[in-house]
Amino acid sequence: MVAAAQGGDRFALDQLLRRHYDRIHAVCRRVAGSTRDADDACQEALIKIVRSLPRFDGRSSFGTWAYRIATNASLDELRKRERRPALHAVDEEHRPEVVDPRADGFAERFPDRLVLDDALDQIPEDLRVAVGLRDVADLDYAEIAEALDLPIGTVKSRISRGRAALAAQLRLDRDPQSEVRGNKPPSDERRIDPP
Amino acid sequence: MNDDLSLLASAYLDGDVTANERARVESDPQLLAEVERLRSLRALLNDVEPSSISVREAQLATALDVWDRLPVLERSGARRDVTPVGIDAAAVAGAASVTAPTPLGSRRRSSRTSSTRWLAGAAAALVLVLAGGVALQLSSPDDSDETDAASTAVADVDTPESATEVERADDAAGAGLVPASAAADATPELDTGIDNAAPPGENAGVDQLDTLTDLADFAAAAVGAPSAPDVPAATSGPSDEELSEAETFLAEAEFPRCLGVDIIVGPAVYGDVPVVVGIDEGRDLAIAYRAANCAEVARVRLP
Repeated sequence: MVAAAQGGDRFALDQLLRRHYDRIHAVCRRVAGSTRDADDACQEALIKIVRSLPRFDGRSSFGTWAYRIATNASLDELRKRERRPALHAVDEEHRPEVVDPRADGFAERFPDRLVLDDALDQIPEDLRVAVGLRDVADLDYAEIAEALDLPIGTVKSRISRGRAALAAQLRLDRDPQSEVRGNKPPSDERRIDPP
Repeated sequence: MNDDLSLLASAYLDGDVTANERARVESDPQLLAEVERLRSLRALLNDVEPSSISVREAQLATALDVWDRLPVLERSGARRDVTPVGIDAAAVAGAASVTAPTPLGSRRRSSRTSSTRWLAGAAAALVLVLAGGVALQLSSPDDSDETDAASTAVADVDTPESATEVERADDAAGAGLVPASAAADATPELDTGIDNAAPPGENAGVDQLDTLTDLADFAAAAVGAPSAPDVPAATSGPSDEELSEAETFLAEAEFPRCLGVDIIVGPAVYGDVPVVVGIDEGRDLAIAYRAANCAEVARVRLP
């Protein structure tokens, strides 16, 4: 399919992009953070993929290559965000009431996702990117090392440290029974349960 | 848990451990608990709310639109070492900033390129009219002063040359030397009121239509004319000055929309009647009518 797209087959390109879209979007979401930034990064990544496809040499898999582009687009978006004024964070007290019962399921998960976003924001960018590429993009160590131009040992270390930092931020306790879901943690702490 | 054990648990989760390391993890409840914790974290990270369908489709359409606007040689990899520059880059950048065009938009865009030829013809016709007026003035024996002034005016009017330049640039587009999209992007939007009239004939003058088939072909060619192939630009489009002159002419040449016409194709002569040709998109009809009173002269279904 990659070869067909490189040969000018528009349908093949469409299928190729669709096949990888969800992962590209997820990588952007986890690396860039906010929905808006992730959408911008995802769009930028798709355009870069299309424009660069003729130069894709097949040394890595298309997915690796595409997720690397998505990663770079997300990092670019992060840099842009740093130059923008910060928005107010949504907290539990100011959570809007759910008026549409069909949205209740989504809304229930919304705080968890906000907490996760917040936790991702709290850890260093290099650790977040490494974890995102491993756990979301599903790249192996060698692919991440190639994407980030790092030694494999560094990649392993960053992933491990990133996971530990995230788990700590989220208070993913080793003994899940030590806390009961629904008990709101102290304001300076966060805890969410896995889906 | 120290860093070494965390690293081991993390590597175990990723399947990147030796047999000995695997045995060690699986025999240590604390390490296994750590693995489960990290597994839960992975599940959380993968719980990404999906992009909405509209956002996804818009993004994919935009990306494919960029692909469509890439020069053919670059798209197929024949120019892998070439980075788009100049007008190509501008076309690609423009494509990146817009969503996918509607089919109607595409049709109109494709006809816009060839409309420049008609603009050139129209500008040339204007010059002929002016020249005719000057000739009449010259024929008057009592107006020597005005004759001089008129001669000066003629000398100042360089529309034929400009029209030639416009035509030459458009010929380049027609011959595939200029990407249609680039030409369209490089051309300012003219609020001409004639909605991309684009007779595609080779002659710059008003087309002669003798039969309904002529009428149908004339109209169909205007809206269905294929855009020029995307290849690197070899020449530039018409200058602002040249376009300004054509625009001035067209501002004076508004045609009324009559009989349900959506698109004005342009003026023509049907039989021996001067007409305006338009298209009723809803019914797929080409209609020729008198501009003065909207009286229908002929109509035919588009091929």
